[in-house]
This record gives sequence, structure tokens and C-alpha cells, in this order.
Amino acid sequence: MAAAATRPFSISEAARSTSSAWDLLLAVTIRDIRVRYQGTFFSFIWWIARPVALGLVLYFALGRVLRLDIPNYSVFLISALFPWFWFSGGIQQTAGTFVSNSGLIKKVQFPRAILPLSAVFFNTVQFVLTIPILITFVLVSGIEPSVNWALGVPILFALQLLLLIGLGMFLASLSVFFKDLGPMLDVIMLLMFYMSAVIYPLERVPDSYRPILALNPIAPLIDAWRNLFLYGQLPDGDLWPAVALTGVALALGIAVFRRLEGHFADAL
Amino acid sequence: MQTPSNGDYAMVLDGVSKRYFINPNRPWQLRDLITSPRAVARQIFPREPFWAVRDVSLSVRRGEVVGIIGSNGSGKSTLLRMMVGLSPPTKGRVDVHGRYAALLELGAGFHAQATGRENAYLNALFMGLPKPEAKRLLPEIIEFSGLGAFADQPMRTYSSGMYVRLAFSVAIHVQPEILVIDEVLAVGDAAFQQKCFEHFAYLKERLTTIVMVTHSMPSLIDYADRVVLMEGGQVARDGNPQEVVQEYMLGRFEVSPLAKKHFQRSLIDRGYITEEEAASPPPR
Repeated sequence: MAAAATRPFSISEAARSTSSAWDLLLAVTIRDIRVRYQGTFFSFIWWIARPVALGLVLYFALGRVLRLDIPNYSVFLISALFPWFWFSGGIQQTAGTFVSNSGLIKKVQFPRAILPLSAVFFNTVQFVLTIPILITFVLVSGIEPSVNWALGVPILFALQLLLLIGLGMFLASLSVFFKDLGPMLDVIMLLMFYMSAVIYPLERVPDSYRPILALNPIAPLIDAWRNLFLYGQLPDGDLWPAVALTGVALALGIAVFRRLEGHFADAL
Repeated sequence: MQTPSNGDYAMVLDGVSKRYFINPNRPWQLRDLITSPRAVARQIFPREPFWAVRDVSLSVRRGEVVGIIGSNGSGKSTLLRMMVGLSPPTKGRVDVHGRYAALLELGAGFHAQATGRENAYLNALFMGLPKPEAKRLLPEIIEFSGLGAFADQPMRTYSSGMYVRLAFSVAIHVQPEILVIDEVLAVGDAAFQQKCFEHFAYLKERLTTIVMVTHSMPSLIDYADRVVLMEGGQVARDGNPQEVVQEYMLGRFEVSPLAKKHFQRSLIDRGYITEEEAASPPPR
């Protein structure tokens, strides 16, 4: 570790500015969106179809067959499923970005953070495009629009975006060295779906299970999205655990990424 | 000649070594976890050191064209990767002075579904060209590649030659002060190769420092100022291109007699040696 004290590599003139890294990040994100939606008009519909179809099935099984006594259960589900799909899709795509771009990382020197960030942005843009659809659905169901939406949406949006960036950087960096992380994440996301109050209200969780849910940063967020759209409630104190965990995820993600990024090309 | 000061160097490598841990790769089964956990641990955390590059010190002057040759596995590519900061050296120091571009693989990051123009633009950004520059140079890049109407087709429709021509065109337009190239010259048709070598001559005039790994030995003698021969991770010879290349090509048993003959033929054709010199044993 003695060698780590002196920087083994130096470039006397800064090769890259922050603004050019930003330009690259935007260009990659735009390329991915264009490629995804080019020539396939239906791909956006297919993307919307996933949360909608899952919502329909859950509504049938839980709302109609098992008859949960939750009013407006279809809106209840949809308003949680859209942010959930943003989260789960974002995490799963972002976690694999370094591994799936190994050719680029091994051969080209560029700011590595661009890859996970562009995956997060890509999924975020898709979510933003679905917000009007979500709002239409809510309004058609007979729910009065609320002025709180104008304030609540940006708050929850920013919080979830930061959470995705933090977790994404952390998982993407780790999965370079820990190859089992990808399949492991599939299982974790499956568990998290049922542990995230998507299909049930958070306040109905028995007290003895509360500590487990408190460790899940997405559960209070999902609950807050739903309270906002369904009841016009602004995020309250229940959101603080999510804020704290987002801070931890962001700090951890950046620290782990910084520590490991120099070794990506050798490890892949 | 004066001893150059530090500012005259584009790149200084000082005692650079790179160690990898290799995995002997014996498969293991779940039950080995119980019967021989230590053997499994050695598989998962390989601790067998392998020095791909050992104690290489090398200084490249500004504007110098340096060729690096050597057999497969001699450490050439590892050395290049350390030069451009892709891989931190285990020991030693790498200092690079100036804006550099690495051309280790053509078209790294090209997306099959995006058009040639889109890919060229993005590739230029990846290689460190600022956005306004990339926008300005894009028509020139497309022009040089000779793709014509194909520039706006998705790259999955390209032939491998077209792919490579576009990638190469981007690479040389990035206009770095230092260009590091790994075996990418053996691509494209003859006319395109000629165009590339002409462009190298132009870059050389503009005092671009070029470090390249290549196997096209005769062209190396034409264009390089200096050739470094790598062997087992170390610098075996460092000096005049014709001497080093001839020693490598004619003095090694792993080079086939036919390859030696072809090489000598090309040297005669280019006027580096005469028929008589070729018939006598190589100079030492």
C-alpha cells in the first residue's frame, strides 16, 4: 500500500473539464432514448404496459377476489406502481452498466460515472413521460386535482432521483468485482416489491414488522407518492427515514465508486 | 545533442511494473467447500502473482514516433494501458504531459442501432473532444471515412471495413498531442491504409507524439523514430527502428522462415537493404 501514497498516474494538463463530462452524459442519455424509441412507436406503450398490466392483475386478485377493503384500490395500486417501476428498472439497469460496457471501460479513458448516471437518467426520463398518464388515470377515477401536487411531485421526484443515483453508483461499482450481485439483485428486488407497501398501505403493517420496513428506503417514498396523488397529502415526517437513507446511499455510492473506479479496467 | 529538460518529454515512465493475480482456474464443486475449503478460497481469491510488465523505464520526447514490438504476451498492451491511465501501475510512475488520445480499440462503444453520424459524434466525445469541436469536426470525420450516404444508416448495416473506417476517422480527428495506438493499422482496404499513413505523416509534422504497438514491421521502419522491443514484460531493445525490427524479425526462432523471407523482400523493395545484405547473416 506504500505505492498508493503517491499518485501513480498524472496528467499535467487537465484532460477534461466538468462541462465536457456533462455534455458526454447528456449525449449518451439522448442516444439511448433515441435508439430505444426510434422506429418502434410501440416500445413506449410496452414500457407503460408493464406497470398497468401488473396493476390490473393485482386489482383483480386482491381487490376483486380477496376484496381488500381499501377504497379506490385501482388508483391506490397505479400511483405506487409507476414510481416503483422507475425505482426497480433504474436499479437493475444501472447496476449492470459497468459490466455491460466492459469493452468501453477497458479501452477508453473517460469519466466512468457517466455510465451509471446515464442509465439513471434514461429511466428517469421514462418515468417523467408517464407522469401525465398517471395523472390522467387519477383524474378519470374521479379524484380532485390538488395544488399540493405542484410542490409534492418535485420533492419526491428529487428524493427518488438522488436515491437512485446513490444506490446505482454503489451497486454498479460493486458488481464489477462481485459477479453474483446481478442475479442476487433480481431476488432482492422481488422481495422489496412486497416489502415496499406497493400493494398495501404502510400504516397497516403490524408494529413488530416496522423495524424491517424502516430499513427500506423506497417504502416511505412509495407511500408518499400515493398519499400525494390519492389524498393530496404533502410528504410529512414519515418521509424522514427515506431522506436519511438517501443521504447514506449517496455518500456510500460516491465513496465506493471513487475508491474502486481506478481498478475497473483491470477487473472487467 | 543537448540533454532535454523535463518539458521536452511527452511521456515519462519510471520503473513501471504491473502485477496481475492469475486464477489457475480449476473448477470446484459445492462439496469442496466442506472437504477442501482452502483450495476453494484460492480459486475465489487467486494469489498467484504474474508480472505482466516489469520495471520499464521509458521516456518519449515531444513529437517522437515510437513503435513497440514483441511477441504475444510480452506486455505491450499492458504497457499501453498504463500509459493512458486505464490501469494503475503496481509499482512506478507514469507522467503524461499533454492532451492524449488512446486508440486501443476501434469503435469502442459504437451502438449498432445508432447511425454512423451519431456514433462518430459520441465516440469523439468519449475520446475527450469538447462538444463544440466535435460538432465542428463531424462533417470532416464523415468525409474522411468515405461512407457517403451510409453515414445516416444504423451501424448494424455496415460492413466491417466501413465500421473500421469510421472509427479510425474519428480517432485521427481528435487531434491529441499524444496518440497511443494499439494494433489498429492492419485494417481497412489498401487505399484507406495509405490515407491513414499519410495522415500520420501530417500528425508527425505537427509534432504529435505517437506511441504505437504494431506488427506491420516494414511500415514501422518507414515511420517510427525509435522502436522498443518488449520481451517477458521487460524492454529488451530500444533504439533505431531498422536495427531493432531486423533483430526481432531475423534473429528469432518463433518467426517462420517464410515470414523472414517476406520481411527481407519488403526491406529490399523499400531500399533499406540490398540483395547481398539479405543473403548474409543479419547485422548484430
